[in-house]
Amino acid sequence: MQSDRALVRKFKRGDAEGLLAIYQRYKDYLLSVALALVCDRGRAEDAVHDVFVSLAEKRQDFHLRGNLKACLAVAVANRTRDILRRQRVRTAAPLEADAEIASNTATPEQVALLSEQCRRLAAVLARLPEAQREVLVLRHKCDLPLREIAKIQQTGISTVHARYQYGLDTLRALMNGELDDETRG
Amino acid sequence: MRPADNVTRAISQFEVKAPARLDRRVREDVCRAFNDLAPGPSAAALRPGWRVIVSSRIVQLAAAAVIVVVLLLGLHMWDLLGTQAYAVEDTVAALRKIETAHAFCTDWQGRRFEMWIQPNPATGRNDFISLVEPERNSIAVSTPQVSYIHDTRQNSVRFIRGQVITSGLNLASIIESLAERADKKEDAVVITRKTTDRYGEVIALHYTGAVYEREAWIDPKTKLLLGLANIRCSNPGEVTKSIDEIRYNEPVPDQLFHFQCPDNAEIRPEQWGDLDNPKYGIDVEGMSEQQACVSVLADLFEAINATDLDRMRKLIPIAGQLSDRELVAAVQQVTGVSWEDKNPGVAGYEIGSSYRDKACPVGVLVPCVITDHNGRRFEITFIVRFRQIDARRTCVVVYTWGGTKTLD
Repeated sequence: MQSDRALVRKFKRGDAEGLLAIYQRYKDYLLSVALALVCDRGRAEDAVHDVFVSLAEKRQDFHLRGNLKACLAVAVANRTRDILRRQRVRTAAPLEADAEIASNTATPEQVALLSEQCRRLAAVLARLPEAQREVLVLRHKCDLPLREIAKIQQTGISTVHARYQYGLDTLRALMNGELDDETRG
Repeated sequence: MRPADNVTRAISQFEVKAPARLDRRVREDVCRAFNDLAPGPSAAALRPGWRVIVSSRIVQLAAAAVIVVVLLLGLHMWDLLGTQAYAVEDTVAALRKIETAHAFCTDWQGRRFEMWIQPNPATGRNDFISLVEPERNSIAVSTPQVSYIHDTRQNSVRFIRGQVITSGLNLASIIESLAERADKKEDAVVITRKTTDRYGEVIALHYTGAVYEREAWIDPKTKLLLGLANIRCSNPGEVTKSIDEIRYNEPVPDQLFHFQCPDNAEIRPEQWGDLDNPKYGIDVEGMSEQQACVSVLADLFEAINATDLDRMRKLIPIAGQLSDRELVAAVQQVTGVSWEDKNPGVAGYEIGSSYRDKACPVGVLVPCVITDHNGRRFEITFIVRFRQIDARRTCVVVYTWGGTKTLD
């Protein structure tokens, strides 16, 4: 398997297959990031699509610094932010019923469970303010340190710390509430 | 699922599969974008440093051979005339063994300056430095305990606790970082053998990166650095444009590192007056002492990682007196994190509980442990000062308390 850097060199030389191989390698991950951020499958696909087309168009200016996976995740996050800024999508848009769910877990029961969890998580994530949602997703889905997130959000680290803490508290409260509802039901 | 405990895990495990329609859409539009564009840049365009090299057919062939060897063997170059091999690590090892270096340098304004360096053989750090800059009217001496900067025009002397003028001229690190950068990134390091007017036959390391373009010349016999030129640099605080000559293992002149305060000099000890200046510090109203210490030090570490000198000055009033170069050097010295052209930042930090010590009346002490990108850990205690200004509670970082300890 070719390394990320080899694939980057390949597409920078003008070989589209290099970029498509990168897409194949990270498409599920990037779509998951986009979906968690934008909470709408169509717009999430738009974000991933736009990032790769943009890379193809601006390949001569692309310089990989650091980890490609993280770099792509940041690009997707930036793109979703643009989409949200334009369209102000704030309402929950649950995953489609036939959403394909991937998981490291293998059994059908676990897959089904994760599928349900994903739907539930997407619904509660959608109820968070965009900035808090972005911090949580970039921190826990993309493993970015908070200082990197502060750069992406163009704000101070203290603000990001606060967004992280508030977002986590709200998300826990929402998920606890949901559990309570289920228990009562 | 227990939501309160599993929220972060749920986010990390949130994963969906990309549908086939997205695959098709991306493939079609990516291929269209590639076909709409002109062919990609040539290797020469990607690495402008090559333009100098590939000026003749024979040199092109030789350069191509070097590229192949570099590609095959990483940063090792085989002597085309014999069997002796060169590796960048040879130079790093040779520089680690030097006892002293006496360097003659030029800054970006064309001013000459002279520097003596005496590294600590155990740590490789430049423990003793003497820097004479006649055209800037400055003489500086740095030791692990205290540093002195003498402004010869104003005849004033500034004392600074600890080392602040390490100057970044850690010769082994300069070379080592070339190898690391080439290994980790797409930056280009090209190794060639050439003949120069100044040094005769040398091994040339030409580095082209986002921040720097520089060439270093290596003695093929001793493997020591002969000189270095920065062709381009966008690093804040970088003073040195070139190291024109380096003499190794010269005996250090007597008393070189023992600063003699000139007669009638105005003595300016570390200035604490700005500590209560409202333009510095952060607002910590409503926070506990520990929360405030964590907040201000976390901000400082983020500023260090971002090489945000203005932010550092905002948090550390005393840094307001330092030039960019001095501040960068001080940060490198204090944190133990050194860099040449790109600040790797601190990989991790732990902020301990604040406490008070009668010997330190200016603020509370906060021990911290910093981990650098090589996994080395350093313990540093910062002094944090709380102020009540305009009915708001704010705090600043005064300085460090004691030295930086390397942990096992």
